[in-house]
Amino acid sequence: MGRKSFITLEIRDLVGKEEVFSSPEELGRASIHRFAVAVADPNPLYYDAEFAENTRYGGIIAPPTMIFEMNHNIGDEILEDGGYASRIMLPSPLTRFVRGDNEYDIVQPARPDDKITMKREIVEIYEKEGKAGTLVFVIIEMKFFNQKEELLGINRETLIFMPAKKS
Amino acid sequence: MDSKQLFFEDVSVGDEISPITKKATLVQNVMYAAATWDFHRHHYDKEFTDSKGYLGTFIDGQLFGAFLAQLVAQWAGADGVVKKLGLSYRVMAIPGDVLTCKGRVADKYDKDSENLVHCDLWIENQRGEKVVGPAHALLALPLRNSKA
Repeated sequence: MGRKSFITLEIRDLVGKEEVFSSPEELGRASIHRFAVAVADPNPLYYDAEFAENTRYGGIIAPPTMIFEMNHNIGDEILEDGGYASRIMLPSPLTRFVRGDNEYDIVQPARPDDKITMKREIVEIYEKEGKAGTLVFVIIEMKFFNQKEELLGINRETLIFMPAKKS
Repeated sequence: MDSKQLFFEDVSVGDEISPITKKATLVQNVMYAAATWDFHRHHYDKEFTDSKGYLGTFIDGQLFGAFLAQLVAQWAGADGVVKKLGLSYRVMAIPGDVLTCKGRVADKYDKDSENLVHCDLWIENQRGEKVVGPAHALLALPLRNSKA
C-alpha cells in the first residue's frame, strides 16, 4: 500500500501565482555600505564614491548578492519568530524547513538610486523520500527590477519542507 | 584594496582560487539581520534555537552567497564581472565557526563575445565539513590583449 502524498490540492494551488513586493524607497548609499560591512567585504567600490567613479561602473554599486539577500518589503508584518507573514509557508504538518540552494543570475548591478521591486512566483513543488522521511521541495523564482523596470537579477531558490518533529 | 587584474588568457582549467577565511560571530549575525532586514530569531536568539533543538543561532545561508561573491571578485580583479552564482547548503554554521571559502577553475570558453570562466566553489568549516557545496560561479574576464 502506498503512502499518501504530502502535496495536497491546497499546496499544488500555490504554484504559478505571482506576488509583487515593492520597496517604498531607493536603496541608498547607507544600506549598501552597511551590507558591505555586515558581510565583511572591504571593497571601496561599495562606499567610496571617488574610488567607484574611476571603475568600470562609474559610481557606487551594491555588492552583487545584496538585492537577493535583502528583504525589500519593509512595512510587511513580522511574526513572533521574527519571520515575515508574507514568507513562503506550507500548511501543517510541513512546518519545518531548511534552505536547499540559491541560484543568482546577476544581470546588472544595483545602484544607490534604484528602488527595488521583487516579483515572486513558486514555479514547482515536488516531494522525495529522504533518509529521515518525506521532503517537499519548493522552487521559488524571484525577479528584481528597479524603477526603470530594468531587470537587475533573478534568484531561484529551493526551500525544503518537512513534517514537524514529533516531540 | 589592491587587487591585481586577472586576464582571461592567464586562467587555466584546474587553477586554484586563493581561499578567503571568515569567522562566524553572533554580532555578525545581528549586523546581517539589520542589513537584510531579516529578523528571524533563529539567527540570534539562543533560547529560541534551543527550544527548536538547533545546534545554535545558525548563520543565514544567504550570507555565504556574499562570501563566495567576494571570493571570486577578489580573485578576478576589478574588471572581472560575476554573472552567475549558485550555492547549495550542507552543514549549518554557528558562531565560533571558521569558514574557509575555496574554489577551482572548471571551464573557460568564449560565448557571445564574452570570455567566461566557470568555477567550482565550496565552503568548509574548521572541522573540514562542507558548509556550502556544490557551488559555482560564472565570471566574465577581460582580455589582456584587448582591441577595445
